[in-house]
Amino acid sequence: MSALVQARGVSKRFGNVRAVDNVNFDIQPGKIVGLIGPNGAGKTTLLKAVLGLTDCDGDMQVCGLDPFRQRKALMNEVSYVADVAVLPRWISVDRLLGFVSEMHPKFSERDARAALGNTKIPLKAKVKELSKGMIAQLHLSIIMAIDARLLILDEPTLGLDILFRKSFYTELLNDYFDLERTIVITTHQVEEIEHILTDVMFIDDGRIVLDETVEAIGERYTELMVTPDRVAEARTLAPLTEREVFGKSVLTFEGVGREKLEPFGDVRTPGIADLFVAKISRERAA
Amino acid sequence: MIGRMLMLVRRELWEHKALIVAPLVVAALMIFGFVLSFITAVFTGVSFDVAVATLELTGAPASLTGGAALLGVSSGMLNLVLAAVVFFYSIDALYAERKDKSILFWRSLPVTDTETVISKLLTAVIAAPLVTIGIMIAAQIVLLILATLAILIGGGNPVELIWGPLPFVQFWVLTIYTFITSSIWFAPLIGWFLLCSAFAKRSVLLWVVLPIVVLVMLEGIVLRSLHMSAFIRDRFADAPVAGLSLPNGVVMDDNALRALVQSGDLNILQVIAPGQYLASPGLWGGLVVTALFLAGAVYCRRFRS
Repeated sequence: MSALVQARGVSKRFGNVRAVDNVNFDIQPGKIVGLIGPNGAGKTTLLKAVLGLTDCDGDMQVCGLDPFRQRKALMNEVSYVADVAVLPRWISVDRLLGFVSEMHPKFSERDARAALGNTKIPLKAKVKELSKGMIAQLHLSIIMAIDARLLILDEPTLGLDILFRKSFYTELLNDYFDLERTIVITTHQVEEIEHILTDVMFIDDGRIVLDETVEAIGERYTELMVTPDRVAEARTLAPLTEREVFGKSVLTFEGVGREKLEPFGDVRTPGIADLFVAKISRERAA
Repeated sequence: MIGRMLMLVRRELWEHKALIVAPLVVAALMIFGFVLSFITAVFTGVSFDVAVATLELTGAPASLTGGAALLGVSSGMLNLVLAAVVFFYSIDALYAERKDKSILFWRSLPVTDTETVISKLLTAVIAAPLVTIGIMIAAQIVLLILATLAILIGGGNPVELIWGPLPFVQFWVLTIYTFITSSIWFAPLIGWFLLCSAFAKRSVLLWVVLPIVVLVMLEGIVLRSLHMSAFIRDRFADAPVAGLSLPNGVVMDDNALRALVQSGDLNILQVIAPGQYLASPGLWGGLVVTALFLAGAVYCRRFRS
């Protein structure tokens, strides 16, 4: 199957700064990809290039289209939330649904209304009368009623409470996602999306530093918790990084077999957030 | 295709309510003013009988001038209101969406920047005038009914005094025609406003005015000529009459009117000259300039958001 997103040597410069630096990757259909990176790493710029919101060097193809030059066709296939609170504040919920329904051939007004029926959002209300959480809910209800091949969520739950975030990701996985659809998510709250991801991409300083399936990460990376008396011995196996938790040392290894580590202490697969810290600090030290 | 464009224009009218509310308020104020003078007349004991008798004595031209004044003043005022709301609309149309970030949402839908910019031009040049004309006609019907009441109170015959002689349907056709021809005549100006509103990071108004003022001044200083200001002045002066062919030096005085009414030849639609309008280089030159400004606005929306 051909990739839904294909980036070959993609770069984007702002003056002398390379926000995205010669990036290559593929995103296959039916994946949920977490794009993780620190602030200013180039996440948003990269997503903008995928969405045709900015021109870039190199070759970028999304759904077989050039995102910047074939933007209207692309927007039929791709939907996204670029930022929460970008819905026009003057419009009423009713009119907004009517408008999107007329302009978007793949938007199901019925699905959106059904989703909103489960919320407290009044259809007659104007967006400016809704709370911040309701506006996000409204926006996501609209986006999820679009039968898109690719859904991009850039910090979709920023500033929303934990109850909302939990139910949003559950809904995303249960009601929206299927094997035809592909989702790319960025967020700082990595732990909350960890369990739904199939693939992970780390980006730092405009470059992709990790691009793996969650399965491969489990096979390749291990975390060892070891008591102080055996740390020196464990270090000889060349860990990526090391940190202290409750007086014990936690060492992250890449490509070291579990059977070699198990004699030293507890072995497990690192969380994405910890792996991210390990990988990024390693990259920066290099 | 047409459905999409209509929806885009409707969205503009939803967002910029002043395009509807401002002419409505002014029309309501005019009606209110008329009612007020009506009531004042009743209470100060002005005799409607005498007024109507005077009207009857002077005959059709007098009621014709009165009625024409009623129509002319109300349409003139609404025309000014239209100019003001369209001005404020077009300098805000591509600026507000960037300021409130809603452009990020609009651009996530399969709508091209060109479609959006064209919808904003159509709103300013066609939709806003049509809205104002609708309100104007409704208001004038109310005003004519009120005048009919006044005549009935005075014991006159409203059919003879107003409804018969007053060519209001012709007047409305003429008004619709001139509103549309003159607003298309002004399209390059609206294109310029839209370009500024897509371009300016802040204070759109400054961008609208300053380049024109600077160019006019530069021309005056460097070339010691005033062609540009003369051109702009002529463009404004021509707008209302670009689609009309007015007989030279004709003044519609009472006698001329009386003669026209008596001969039954009163047809104000004779001045409509669509052929002349469509053949005028000013129209097409203006549309070319409009297209250039709009292309600039599309470029700004695409690359600067």
